[in-house]
Amino acid sequence: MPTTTANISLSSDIGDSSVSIANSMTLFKAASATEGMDTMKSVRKILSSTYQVDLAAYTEAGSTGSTGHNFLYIKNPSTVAGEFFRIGFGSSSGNDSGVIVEELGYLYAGDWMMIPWSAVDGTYDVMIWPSVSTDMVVEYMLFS
Amino acid sequence: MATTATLTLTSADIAGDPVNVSTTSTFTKAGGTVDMDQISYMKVNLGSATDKVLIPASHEYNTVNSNKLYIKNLSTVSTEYITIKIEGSTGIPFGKLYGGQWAFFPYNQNDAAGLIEVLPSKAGIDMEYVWIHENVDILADD
Repeated sequence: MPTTTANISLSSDIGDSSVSIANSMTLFKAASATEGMDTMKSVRKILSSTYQVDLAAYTEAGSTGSTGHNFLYIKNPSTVAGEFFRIGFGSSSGNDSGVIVEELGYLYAGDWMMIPWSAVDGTYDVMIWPSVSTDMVVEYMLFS
Repeated sequence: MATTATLTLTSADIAGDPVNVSTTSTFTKAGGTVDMDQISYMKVNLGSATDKVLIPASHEYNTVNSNKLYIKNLSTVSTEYITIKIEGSTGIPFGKLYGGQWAFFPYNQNDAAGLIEVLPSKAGIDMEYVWIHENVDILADD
């Protein structure tokens, strides 16, 4: 089985004492300590409207249903500080200017995120909403 | 002040060629260049296997912000998991962290009901989290 490792190094001097966290995890399938995730999808997309759209439909995930377990990495590679993506979850309704069903947060220029994704069914699609319509690039990798 | 997070993703054998991704973010307040200036760190035992509100309801929900959240399931048992949920109008349990796994994501609590909640698969699972935020007045008034 393939072995994929994700390491995070988080450091901050916000407080009077610094905070430093370093952790590593192997991307295993659900409830397993031996069976590594064995499929990967790497995507770079250009979004040219401010509509919310599916970034990843649940059907793209290799593990779905009640025991679905995947990992999703998303990056906003913009270098313009004010440009962001709103990230959320919901059902696809095509190009929609409405509110994301459940919004997670704002991914600003240079920011990345790494989350487990259950991809249970069509109400769990990963939605994205660019802040500008001038060809914003988004990158993501999906491990299942 | 500066807060940074570096991710490295590596695999020698998930594809025909090695995968090696490395990226670093320096966290600033929404849309600008001012460093984030508030942080909360906790290691907790989640107690019973019921929903737990992770971040207190903010006085400033639905504001544009650049808040970030790091969560790790400290269990060493691969079958023990923590479900992460956005407890909004419909409620989306979007992912599970099994023993030893972590997540890092932006979180802006987009409405009064949009709390982040965690649901342990069994009683007694330890978890740690770091919340990097720019909200002011997050503590409830007495």
